Amino acid sequence: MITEKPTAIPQLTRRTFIKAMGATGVTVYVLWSSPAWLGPRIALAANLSTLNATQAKEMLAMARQLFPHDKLGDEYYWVVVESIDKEMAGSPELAARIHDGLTQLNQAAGGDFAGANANQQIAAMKKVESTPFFSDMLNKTQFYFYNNKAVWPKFGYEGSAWEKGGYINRGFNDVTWTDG
Amino acid sequence: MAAKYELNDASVIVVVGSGAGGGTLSNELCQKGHKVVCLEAGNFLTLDDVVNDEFTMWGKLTWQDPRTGQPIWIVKAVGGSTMHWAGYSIRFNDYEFKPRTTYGAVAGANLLDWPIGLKDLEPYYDKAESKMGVTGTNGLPRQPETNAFKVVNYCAKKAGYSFEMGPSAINSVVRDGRPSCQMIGFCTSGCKIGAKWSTMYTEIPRAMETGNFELRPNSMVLQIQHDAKGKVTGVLYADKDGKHQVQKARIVCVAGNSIESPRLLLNSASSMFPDGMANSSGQVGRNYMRHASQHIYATFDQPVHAHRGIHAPGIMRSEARFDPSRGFAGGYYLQIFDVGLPFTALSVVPGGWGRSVSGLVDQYDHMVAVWTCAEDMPQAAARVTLDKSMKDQYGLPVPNIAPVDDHPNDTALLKHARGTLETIFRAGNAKDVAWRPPFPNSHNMGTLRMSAKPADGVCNGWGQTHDIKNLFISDGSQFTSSAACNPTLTIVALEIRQADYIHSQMGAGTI
Repeated sequence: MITEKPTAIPQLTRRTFIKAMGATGVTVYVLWSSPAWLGPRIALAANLSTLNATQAKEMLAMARQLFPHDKLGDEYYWVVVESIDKEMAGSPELAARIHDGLTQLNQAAGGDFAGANANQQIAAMKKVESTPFFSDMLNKTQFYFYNNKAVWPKFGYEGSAWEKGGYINRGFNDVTWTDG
Repeated sequence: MAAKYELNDASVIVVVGSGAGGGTLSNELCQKGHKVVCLEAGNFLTLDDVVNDEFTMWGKLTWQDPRTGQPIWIVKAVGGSTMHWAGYSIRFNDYEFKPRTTYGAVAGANLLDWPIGLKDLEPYYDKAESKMGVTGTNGLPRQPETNAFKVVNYCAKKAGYSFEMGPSAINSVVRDGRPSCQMIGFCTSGCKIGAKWSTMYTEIPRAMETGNFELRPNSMVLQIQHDAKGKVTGVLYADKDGKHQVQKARIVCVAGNSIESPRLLLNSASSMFPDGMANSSGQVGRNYMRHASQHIYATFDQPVHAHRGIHAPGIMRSEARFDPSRGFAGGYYLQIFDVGLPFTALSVVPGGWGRSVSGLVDQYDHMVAVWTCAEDMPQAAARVTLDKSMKDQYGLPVPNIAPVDDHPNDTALLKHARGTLETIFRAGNAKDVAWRPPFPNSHNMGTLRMSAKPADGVCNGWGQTHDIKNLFISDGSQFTSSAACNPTLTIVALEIRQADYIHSQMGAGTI
């Protein structure tokens, strides 16, 4: 899940990654110009144990291209990066596959996947589409992105309903444009 | 009130599995005064364990033991797949019991008529519908129309078609000690309030109340045992602590779904039955059928909010008929089926990635989904076997479900269904209409099919195996053909009927 904490660093810009050494490993901060509904600028922080900041940035860009939702900020895709990193920490095989895959992806993009434009990124992803790395990324991004409760309201999905009495009195039949 | 039987009590009937088949049969036998031990591989959950979260419940309910081949989605828990079914309860049409006679020889399809017909099952369909509280039967009202239903039926009517609400085994009124549907959604994640019929909180507690029933959850049956005459004597199972136990039995009834049931017979091979139990025909595991199916998504300018209310509100019947002028045998139902965002995203991803996927998910609250449920042709190559290269946590070879291509009849039928839905949704001014392959199979049928002649199948018209009189097949494995309708109602009807037969045969002393 998203860990939010106020940042002490002023003047942060969207998609800025600041790497700082923590006691247990590398801490990566992903920062963005927060949309109005989030109030003041905040930072997402996470201890990434297997990805370095560059790789995290590449994975974030790839997650975005897999399921691009322009209305959603990077913080929702960052959840995917954090979660996959956590899985990689528990599985050396997965970690190796993803590290290698990101290298391949960069090569396919002419050296800098994260810095490429959208069309170049898509073309690079198509080149590695048949690899196990790509299917891992596809499946895991699908799961971690759409199963994040924070994104549900963005799609009009209301989640758990039984404790609110279901929808029997809350709009199960409120469509009216089909009348008449 | 629960009974407790000794392991060496050879007078009990052992039922393997507690879902639509095993749960129903257990209760019916107990009501008639018979002693039943039901061995269920999964946990005994309560409604407190049910939450409104698709992936969490997927984790709690799904049969996740290893297997190879086609992906399957069935349940490992007391109640079996009645915990995650959506509730559609439709009877077979008469011709669907006679596919070989009606359709003639279909190349590449191993068609066979059932040894029973609609007339035999009608009284039991009546009982099953009454037991399950199927809407639109027994004077029970249909559910009120949901958003998804209103939108689909609006489109259908513009194209000259019509959908109906239900028929569904979800309470439309307070009934049977259970509440009426509160339109919560999440039907396929387990109904939090028990409005949807599941054996977990209907048949199982009813059986307990008789004092004749012992349920042993977390008990995985490993092998059916027999004596020198080839009669079944009991089962070897791993209990909740993993300890091997042998429960003696007068009769064994197998109801582990169409994957685990044939697997159990194959894993019960012995020197007397080297090809597996009840397999003199060589048909054990063969003719595996699911339904030919697909998802169609349609999006609209106006909101739909299809997740509000029952997942499976209503169906269209008019294409579920025998009409060879359409270019295929068998028919199909169109069934509205909307799930939550996580599973909708899961379902649209097989179409690829990028904006073709995310563009659909972006319209989640402006979208309806309709599932095609169509007759599947039994194919010789579609088969459950043992995969001896892999063992499960009990040390047994895992089942393999041979991956086979859709039969050309399935392909033609699904194309026709897409055409029908395209017509319907275009008539209703849908924005995007997208097609996706189905979820992993939840409707599993055949593999131990009924047949008039012992050479053609595994069991007779009562589900009694041709080879062994005191061994019964008590789930959808019995199906000789898949028909176009959802299987649960027919499984329940078959099991009420089978209980009558077992009762009469025990009375007559033949088993």
